[in-house]
Amino acid sequence: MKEIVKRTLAVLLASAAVVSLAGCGEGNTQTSQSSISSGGSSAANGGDTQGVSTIRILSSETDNPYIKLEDREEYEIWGYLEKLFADKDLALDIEIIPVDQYQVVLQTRLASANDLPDYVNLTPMDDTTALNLATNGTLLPANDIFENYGDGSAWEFLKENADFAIRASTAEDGNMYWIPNAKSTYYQDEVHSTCQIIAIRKDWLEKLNLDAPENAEDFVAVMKAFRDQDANGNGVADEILGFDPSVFLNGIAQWFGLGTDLASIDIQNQKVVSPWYQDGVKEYFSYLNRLVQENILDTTLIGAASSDPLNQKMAENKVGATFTYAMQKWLEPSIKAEDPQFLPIGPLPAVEGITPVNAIEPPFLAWKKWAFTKACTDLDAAGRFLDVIYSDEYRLISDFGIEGQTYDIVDGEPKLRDDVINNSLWEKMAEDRISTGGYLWGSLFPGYSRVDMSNEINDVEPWKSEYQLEVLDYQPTHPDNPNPYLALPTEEQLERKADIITDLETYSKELAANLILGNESLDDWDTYMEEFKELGLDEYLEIVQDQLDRFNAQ
Amino acid sequence: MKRKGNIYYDGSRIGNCLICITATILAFICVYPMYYVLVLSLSSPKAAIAMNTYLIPDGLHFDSYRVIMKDMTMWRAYGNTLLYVSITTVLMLVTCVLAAYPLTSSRLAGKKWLTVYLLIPMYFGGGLIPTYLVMSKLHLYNNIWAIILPGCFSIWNIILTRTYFISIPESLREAAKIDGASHFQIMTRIYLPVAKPIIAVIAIYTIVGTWNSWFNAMVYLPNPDLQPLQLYLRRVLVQQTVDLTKLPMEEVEAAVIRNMSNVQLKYAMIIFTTLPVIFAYPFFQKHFVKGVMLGSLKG
Repeated sequence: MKEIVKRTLAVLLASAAVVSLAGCGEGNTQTSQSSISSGGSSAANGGDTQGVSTIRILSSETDNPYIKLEDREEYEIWGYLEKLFADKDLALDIEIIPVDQYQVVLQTRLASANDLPDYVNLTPMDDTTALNLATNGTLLPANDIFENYGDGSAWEFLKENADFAIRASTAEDGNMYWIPNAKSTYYQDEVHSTCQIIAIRKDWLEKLNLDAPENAEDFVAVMKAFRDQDANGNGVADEILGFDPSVFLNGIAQWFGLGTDLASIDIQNQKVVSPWYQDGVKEYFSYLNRLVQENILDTTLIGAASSDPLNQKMAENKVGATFTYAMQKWLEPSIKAEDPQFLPIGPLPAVEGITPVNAIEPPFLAWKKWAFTKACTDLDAAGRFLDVIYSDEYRLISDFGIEGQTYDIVDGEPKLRDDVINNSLWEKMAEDRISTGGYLWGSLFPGYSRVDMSNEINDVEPWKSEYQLEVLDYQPTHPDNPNPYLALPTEEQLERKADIITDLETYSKELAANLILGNESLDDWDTYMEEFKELGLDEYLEIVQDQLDRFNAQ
Repeated sequence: MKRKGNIYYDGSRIGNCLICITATILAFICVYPMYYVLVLSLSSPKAAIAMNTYLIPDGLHFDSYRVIMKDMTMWRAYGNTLLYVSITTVLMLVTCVLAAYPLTSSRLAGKKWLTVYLLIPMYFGGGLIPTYLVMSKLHLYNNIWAIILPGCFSIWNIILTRTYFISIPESLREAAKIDGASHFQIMTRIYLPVAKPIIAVIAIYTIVGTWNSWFNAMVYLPNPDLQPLQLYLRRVLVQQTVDLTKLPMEEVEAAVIRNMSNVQLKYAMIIFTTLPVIFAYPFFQKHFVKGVMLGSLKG
């Protein structure tokens, strides 16, 4: 018996070892195959096989839930991309990391400076860490590659179309260490963008024969009516306003003329202001406190770490109004009710003498980061690489895909097919291996897109498009994200910001929550302001104002 | 013992009832979270998002289980985890026994220093970056041995095994030696049969530890084909926790679609990935309790 056990154990051990070695071999084989198919050795090693330079890329998988970069070889559009690179004697050797582990892998790889790729998606890295990598020489100045290598067309294109992105990514020393995604939004050839607002349940308004609120007082009355008249019909007075008021980007703060962030940008006056110092802030907290007293505001959502609790309430058909994008299409399908509809409202007047603010998405958006590392020694190849991704041919396949498959030419212009615009069909597109380049390799390369808002406006319900058109020229506006308007901080500013921002944000959120809940009194306002000054709010505003001024001066 | 005037004495009805009630409450506290996850995994996706079903599932929706059954990535991750667990456990037992046995010998030169030398890395680790560099230089990056090798050697387990071995009378070893047994024979034929409880403890520690581990795989194993189940589970769970107000409008829609399709799936996934450990635990429990107590009392 013992002998049998021993033999069985030996066989198991041997099999396990063999299988594990096989697994190990498989991993290595895949890597090497990937390298070979991509054209040989790396540019990092000065590799050049038959005149073709290989760029080694480290990137995350795409965010798209269905169309995956790891399946790229099965998409026809990928062949188009490879051809564009091949025409410039370039091949790609891509290492793809799943999205959820990318940040850890990226930080570890770059911090250890070991086995660096030539070119890397730096998006999960904050500005401070990325600038530290630039300072210690891990990242190369991309502007140098743009200007001095390749045929210069990429730099020319970027300066002409996305100068704002260059300005937002240029460090104190005048170098641009990473290349952002750039997007400018237009409507009928004029600069415009969408906005984040309060949206109220249109179907409930109709059910209860109520008019859409026209001012902040109306809003309270409507929300009370939702609750008192059981708008969701479940027999419980549980209809709520679902949003997080611990931050100022919430729609209602903007009705009181308040900015969107601790340091918010008044776009028309090009001034950095803090909502805590603005007129209307006390009235705003009194108003929210009233909403709490009236059981309209769901206090469990204050300071929620994620959108999960709000998603729950939304699914339960309890949310009568919420803060969202004006032209959103994703809330209604998540609600457990028959044909729910949201109507965007506001900016509603709340205090006499104060003009409400509109929180807009910046029409010039620079976000995400890609960079060349010191491992990239073939700078000419890097220059050609940039020439490809800023070429007209690349933009066509990236934005529109393949003619007859994802787009058609209408009136001489490429126009995406309806089934490509409709995001609910992504799964089908993935099954058919049909995609635009952007969906498939959005995480690999920075790009520039000029977005015509009319596509979105035509694609949403009429009450949303009418609203959007109505507020297109509304002023005053504050951006929902100030970063696209700011130059990168200097090293000293970066250090100061890092020193004070955590305490400031924590105090701001806690104080806002306490004032709303009535745990702190507005009578002690001067004490709160003193505390803000001690924590460095004035200094913080000065730093951000300086960033804004430098951005405008560049 | 019955005490005069004390109605709660050992074995009294009231005493037993109190114990049963307390035990039931504690059992409920332990079991209910898992049952709740099971209920949500079977409820409709919208009910799963709302999280407002507590005892009976809102409908019976096996869609997420169907998705899991067809999900080849999950099965591959399952297979990988089984592979890692089996190899790591076997190697862990081998290293523990081989390292612990010499440390029990009174004639081992420098035994004290050797023990201290072993204890130092138990308290002080190298940190992530140095460890990553070591892994990388050893060509273990993106290789299954990056998961197995670090997991198959534990100073803590060696100390535990050594402590248990010490409790075995030295006279047994001496007697075997007189009979002409070698150290290997003494270890395999005398110590190992007596040390089954500690072997079971180390095995269950390693099985549970390896089954639940994901961080090493996250850092060292970017290839999804080689990743263990827990990393896959984490992927399903983590992808939902996104602050939608921080995303540009064009990215919000993708995030919301992903959330909707994942909510019910994540509960089904939790059930599916936890089952093997839940079923394995009762078989080891007897040895587990015994072994830990012996180790701790005689340490």
